Amino acid sequence: MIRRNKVSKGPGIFFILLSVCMAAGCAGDVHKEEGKERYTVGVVTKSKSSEYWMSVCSGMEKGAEDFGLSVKFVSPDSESNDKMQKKMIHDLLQQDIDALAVSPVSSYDTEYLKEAEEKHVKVIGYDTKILAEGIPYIGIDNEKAGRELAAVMAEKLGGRGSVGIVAGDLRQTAHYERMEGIKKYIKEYTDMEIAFIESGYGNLLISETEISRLLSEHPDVGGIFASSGVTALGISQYLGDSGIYVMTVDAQQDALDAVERGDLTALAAQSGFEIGYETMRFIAENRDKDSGVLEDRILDAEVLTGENVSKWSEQTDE
Amino acid sequence: MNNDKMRNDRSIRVFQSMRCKMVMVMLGITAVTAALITGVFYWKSSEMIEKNYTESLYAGISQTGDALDESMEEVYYLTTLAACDGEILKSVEEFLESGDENDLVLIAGLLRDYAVRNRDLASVYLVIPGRRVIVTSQEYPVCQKEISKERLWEIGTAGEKALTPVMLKDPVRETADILSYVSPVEGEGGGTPAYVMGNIKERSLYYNYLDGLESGRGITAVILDRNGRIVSSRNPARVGEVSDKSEENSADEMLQAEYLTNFTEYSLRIEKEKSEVLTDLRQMRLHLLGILAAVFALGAILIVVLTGAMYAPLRKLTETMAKVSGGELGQRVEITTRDEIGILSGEFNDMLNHIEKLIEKLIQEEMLKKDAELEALQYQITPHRDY
Repeated sequence: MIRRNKVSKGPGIFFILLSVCMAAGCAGDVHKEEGKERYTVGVVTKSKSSEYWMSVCSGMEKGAEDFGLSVKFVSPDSESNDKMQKKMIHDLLQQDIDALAVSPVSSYDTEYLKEAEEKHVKVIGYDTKILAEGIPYIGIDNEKAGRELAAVMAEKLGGRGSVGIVAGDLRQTAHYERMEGIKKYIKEYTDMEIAFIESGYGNLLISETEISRLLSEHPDVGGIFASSGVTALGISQYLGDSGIYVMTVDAQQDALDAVERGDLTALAAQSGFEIGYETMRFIAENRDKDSGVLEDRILDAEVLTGENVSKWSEQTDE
Repeated sequence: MNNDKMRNDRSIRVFQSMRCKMVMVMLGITAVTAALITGVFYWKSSEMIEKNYTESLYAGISQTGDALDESMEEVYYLTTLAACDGEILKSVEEFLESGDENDLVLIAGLLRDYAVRNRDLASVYLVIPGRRVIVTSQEYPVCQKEISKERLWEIGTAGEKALTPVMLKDPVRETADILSYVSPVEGEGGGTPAYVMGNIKERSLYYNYLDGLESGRGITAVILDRNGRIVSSRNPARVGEVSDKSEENSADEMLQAEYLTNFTEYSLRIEKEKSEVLTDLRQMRLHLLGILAAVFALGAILIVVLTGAMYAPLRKLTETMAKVSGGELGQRVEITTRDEIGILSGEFNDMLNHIEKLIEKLIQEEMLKKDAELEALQYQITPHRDY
C-alpha cells in the first residue's frame, strides 16, 4: 500500500494572502479637525495699521507655529485708544486662553490684571512695559536706545545746539523711557538743550502744520528725535535737505532704506518681528511657571547709521 | 469489453490525466493571481483617490475658514470700535437726558458708517435698554421702539460671549435669526447705557462661504459653533440644530473633512459621497474585468499548448505501456525528450529488451530441456538395438 503524504494547502494560501496584504499597505487617514489642545495665547496689540505692528503679529504667528502655540489677535484702531484696548482685553479674557500678551496703550492702567488673575491667565507685557509687580516684559531697553541715539546726535551737532523730541503717547513706558534716555544723555554729556517735546505721535504722522509751527517757534533746532519710524519718515519728508538731523527707533524697511539714503540720520533697530517671535518663545518656555518669578527678556536694538545699515540688513536677511 | 465501456474509461482517464491536473492547477494559480492583483489595484486606487480628494476638500475648507474668520474678526473689531465711539456715547447720553429723537437719527448715521465697512456686516444696531429703543443702520426702520424685556435681557447677556457671534432672534424684525457680536457701550460715569450689535445674516454666510464649496454633486458643507450647533447650512431649517456625527452618513459612504477656525472657533465641515468620487473608478471596473478575462483566456491557451507539448512524451509512454501490457512485447517508446520522462521511457525500453532476452533464454532452455527429454525417451525406447 502506498502511503501518500497529505500536503496541507492552508498555510500556503494564508502566506500568499498575508504577503498581498502587507504589500498593499495600510488605509490612508481622513483629515480631522484640530481641537483645543494647544496652549492658547491671547495677544493685544496697540494697533494693526502700521508696518511695525504687522511685523510684530507676523513674528508672533511664526513663533506660535514653531513653539506649538495657538494665538488669537485683537487690535484697537490706534495707539491712543485705551478704552477700546481695555474692552478687547476683557473680551479676550472671556475666551479659553492660557496666557495674555499685552502691549499696553497705558502702562499705568492695569485693572484687567485682577480679572486675569481670577481666571488664572498669565499676563506678559511686550514692546511696552505693564507697570505692575510680577509682570515680565519682552522688548528693547528703551532708555538705552534713547541714550545711544542722543550720543549720535551729539556727535553730529558737536555737542551743542538744540534738539526737539516728537514722542509717542507718554502713558506708554516705551516712549517715556526713550525720551528720558535722550534727556539724561543730553544733560550729562552735552551742552545741548531740548527745544520742544511733543507727544501722542506713536506710529502717527505729525501734520505739516505742526512741524511748520515747531520749526518757526524754534528755528535753531539742529536735530529731531521721533519716537517711531512712521513719524520720523513724515518729518524727514517735510524737512527735505534742510540739514536737520532726524533719528528714530524702529526697523521697518522704509526706515532702513531712509537711513541708507541719508534721509534719516540714525535709528535704533527695534525689530517688531523679533519682539513678536521672542514673546512667543518666552511664553512657550515658561508656560508652567508662575509669571511672578519670571524675569524680563531684553532684546538688542543696535543703532544704525549710513555706515552700518547695509551690513545689518544683510545679516538680518540671512 | 465493449466499445462504449472503453470510451467511458477513456473519458474518465482524460479528466484524471496528469495533463488535465496540470492544466487545472496552472489555470487556478493564474486566476487567483490575476484576481488578487486586480483586486489590490482597484482597492489601492480607490484609497488613493479618496485620500487625495479628502486632502483637496480640507485645503478648500481651510482657505474658506480662514477667510470667514478674518471677516468675523473685522466685524468684532467694528462692533467694538463703534461701542467705543465717543460721538455715539455722547448722542446716547443726550438722548437719555432729553428724549430728543434727532439724537437717534444722528446715531443711525454714525452706525451706517460702520455697517458699510464689511460685506458680511448686514446691519449695526444700537440698543438703549433704558428707553427700550433700538437704532439701526438701515434705511427702514431707523429705529424700533418698545423692545421687549426678554429681548433686551438676551442682548445684554450675549455681550459676554465676546469673540464669537451669538445666534439671536432679530430684535427689530423678529422673523429671522441673526448672528451678532454684542459690545457694551460704557458710560463716562460707569454703567452701560447702550449696546452695539454687529449683525450678520446666516444666508449671507451660506452664500459667501458655503455655496462655493457645495458646487458639484453629493457635497454638503456646514458651519458649526463650538457646541456642534449648525450656524449655517444649505437648508436654513437646520440652523440651530446640533449636528451629531453619528446621525450623518457613516464614514463608509462619505468622505469628510473638518477645519476649526482660530478666532471664532467655528468649524467648517464638508462631506462628499464616496460614490460620486469613485464614479470613474467604478466605470473602470468593467474594463478591469475584461482585462482580467482576456489575461485569463490568454493564459489558458498558453497553458493548454505548453502542457500539450510537455505531456506528449508521457502520453507516448502510457500508450506503449498499454500495448505492451496487451501482449505486444515488441513495442518500444519513441524517446523525444531528455527530461525525466525521456529517462523513464529509455529505462522502460531497456526493461522490455531485458524481458525479451529473458524470454528468449527461457524458450531456449525449454527447447533444450525438451530435446533432452526427447533424447532420453528415444534412448529408453531403442537403447539395445544400437548394440
